[in-house]
Amino acid sequence: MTSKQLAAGAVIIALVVVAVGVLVWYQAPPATTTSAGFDDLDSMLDDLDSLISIDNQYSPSDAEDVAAGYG
Amino acid sequence: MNTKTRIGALAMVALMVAVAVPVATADTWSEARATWVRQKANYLENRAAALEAYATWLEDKTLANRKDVAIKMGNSRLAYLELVKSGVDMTRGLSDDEKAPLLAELDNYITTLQGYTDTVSGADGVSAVREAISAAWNYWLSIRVRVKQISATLVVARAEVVLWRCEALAAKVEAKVQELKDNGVDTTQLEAWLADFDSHIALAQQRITNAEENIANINDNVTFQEMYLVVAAHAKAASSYLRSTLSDLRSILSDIRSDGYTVTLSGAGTLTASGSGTADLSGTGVMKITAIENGVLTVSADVKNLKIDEESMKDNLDSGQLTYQGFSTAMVTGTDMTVSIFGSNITLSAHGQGTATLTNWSGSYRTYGENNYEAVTLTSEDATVTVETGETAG
Repeated sequence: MTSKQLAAGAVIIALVVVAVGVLVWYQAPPATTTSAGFDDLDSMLDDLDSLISIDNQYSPSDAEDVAAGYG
Repeated sequence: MNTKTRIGALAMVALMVAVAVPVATADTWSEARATWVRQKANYLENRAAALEAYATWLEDKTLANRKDVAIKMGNSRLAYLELVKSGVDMTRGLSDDEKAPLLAELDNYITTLQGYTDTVSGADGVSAVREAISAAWNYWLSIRVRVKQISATLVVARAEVVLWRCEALAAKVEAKVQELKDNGVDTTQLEAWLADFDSHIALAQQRITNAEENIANINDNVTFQEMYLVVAAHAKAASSYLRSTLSDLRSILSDIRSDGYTVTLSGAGTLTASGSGTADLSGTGVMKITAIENGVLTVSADVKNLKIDEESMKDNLDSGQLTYQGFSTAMVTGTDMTVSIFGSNITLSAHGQGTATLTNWSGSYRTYGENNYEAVTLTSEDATVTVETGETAG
């Protein structure tokens, strides 16, 4: 076996290892959609509070709209 | 190219395909959430720019500054619409069929508003600028109430899905507690915590119902902000009660596990249904009937935890099953149980793991599974749902 063949073999093995690693990583169950744990629910409640908060505090307000429309 | 090289090349192609396919199915909710976070930052940035332009115009009331305010306020509104749109995308609890019309509606608003903002940008001269600003403002007036309603719908849907996920997890815990009790274990403390859980979940449910009922009141350009705040306040209270339910569940689980017992929480979902027909359920968890007319409930003989109206009539069948009639509410908890319900104007929910088959069903059902959210309407049709995933078979 020539050194070129050895090098090509090493590159292929490395690529296979990387590909398998990536494959395993992507195949892992996504925590946010399939986890039935409490962390998921905590995060969903945080998102709910965050949604309420941004719409309460920062949505375009009447006063600003009036100012922008008729200033 | 020799044979070995060809085989090697083919192997690499196969591996690349194997890697590429899962990339396409990567977690779409995480991506939607990341987009929402980006849109939130973008909206706040645009809003700050609009307010700054407004402050500048107050100092120096030139036409150019006036136009700058209008353009930046237009961009701020566009960013707000994009934020609401990304909120629709990331809202679990809304089915794809429910999201699609909302997304299309928001897209239409964005395209039209962008057109008005572009017109302001291209306007020249005092009257043209004033006319373009007025047109953009009037368009915003015509859509902002509806956009607020959509925001409120998202809030309610998110609160609701958390509630049903809590119920799903609790169902498996309740089935376990029942199993321990059947085996002679003292479950007094666990049942006390479950009572707390039930109380908190009922309060959360009530607040979500209140929030939902108030969405219809977001209906005019004068009070819409105020009415939204009413919805938000109910949702906020529901969120607080739901956090209490999580705390209750953590306590129960901790106690069960410290005694050396195991409870698997994964594989749990919720089905809610209303209508008339037959519902057959098999699996582990809790089934609740909160309304029914002319109902017949049949349960397997090994079902030990059945709470049903006292005035109901009970019959023992030759098969060993038990039937009940003349009731309006019932709740069954168990492991590997089978339950069948027949009647009119039924409101039911099934929580946990198993299969629910609706036969000759006229009404609707929703699923809140681990992988899927569906909202389906049936007219004398059949459907079989895997409760834990939320998927309908076939």
